[in-house]
Amino acid sequence: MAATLAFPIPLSIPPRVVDAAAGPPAIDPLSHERAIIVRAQRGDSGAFSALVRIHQRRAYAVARAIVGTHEDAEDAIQEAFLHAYRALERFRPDQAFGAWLHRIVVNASLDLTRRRKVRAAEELPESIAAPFRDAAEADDLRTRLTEALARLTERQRAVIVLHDVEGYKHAEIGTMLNIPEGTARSDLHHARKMLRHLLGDLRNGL
Amino acid sequence: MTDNFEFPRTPDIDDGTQPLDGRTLEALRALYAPPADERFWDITEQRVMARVLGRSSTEWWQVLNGWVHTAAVAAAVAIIVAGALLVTADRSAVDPGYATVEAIADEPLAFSFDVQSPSQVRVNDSPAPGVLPR
Repeated sequence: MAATLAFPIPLSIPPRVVDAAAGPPAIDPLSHERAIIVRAQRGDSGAFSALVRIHQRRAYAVARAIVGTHEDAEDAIQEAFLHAYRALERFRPDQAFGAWLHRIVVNASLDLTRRRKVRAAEELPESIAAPFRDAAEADDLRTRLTEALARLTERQRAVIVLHDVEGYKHAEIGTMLNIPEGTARSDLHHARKMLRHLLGDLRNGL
Repeated sequence: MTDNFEFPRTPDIDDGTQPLDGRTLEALRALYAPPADERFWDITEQRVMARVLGRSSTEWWQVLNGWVHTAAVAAAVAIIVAGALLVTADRSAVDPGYATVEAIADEPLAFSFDVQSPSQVRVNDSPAPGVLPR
């Protein structure tokens, strides 16, 4: 049976072979996204809106891993998408849009963290970024976990959340945070060790 | 014989390579879970687009801002040229003699000068016989 190529295939993914009798080919998400990106690069705001819709959850997760709080993650992704929109014409189609966007999200999140630190230093020196505003709402493990996370360095916290919660690989985390892969791995190990140490009595009592 | 030898791992040493236990991991995921409410994402998208489009209109003006310097120079040159033309027109209108002078100045001369060669000049300028040169 004759096999045909469905459409021009980007170099990064293997050629898709479709059965002519099996009906129209399924839409390749990568090609579909590339088409949206090209439209957005040409100034189609509806296309950019579609990109926001596709990537906002993942962007939120990345931002949240770095900034800690829901409110700051919200601010960070808005900033990040704005930066992405302005820089969109510099985006090369051979790049992965998600990875490119996540670098922007990381930078926006780090910027926000720096600004918050300056403000916190001026206003409330003892304040720490806690994911929950009202600890009474959280159960004991949650509260203790929040406290334990606050004892980690920002980078360790980001690495453990990106790896253990979001499922990113060490190499991806390294690229995102602009650190060597080995550093990401070592940060993860330190973070896990610290959490286990700080939550030890609680975990033993479970 | 020693090819398969491995150092025994002591279970009480935590080097961080082991994953977190299920309960802690679950709590960590709950702590960082993105909002489940779809309305939150709709609103976020709307906010992003509002900022993007707001920014976009500003950028449209910023494109024009790039031309401001050139436009200012062009306008200044145009004003100077227009001013000069206006002054010339005014002088022509107020002083009819000025127009006449201009008309005369534009006409070709009715006579011409003969330009003497340097040798002729020397001959003509030489003192008359009997006159002592200076």
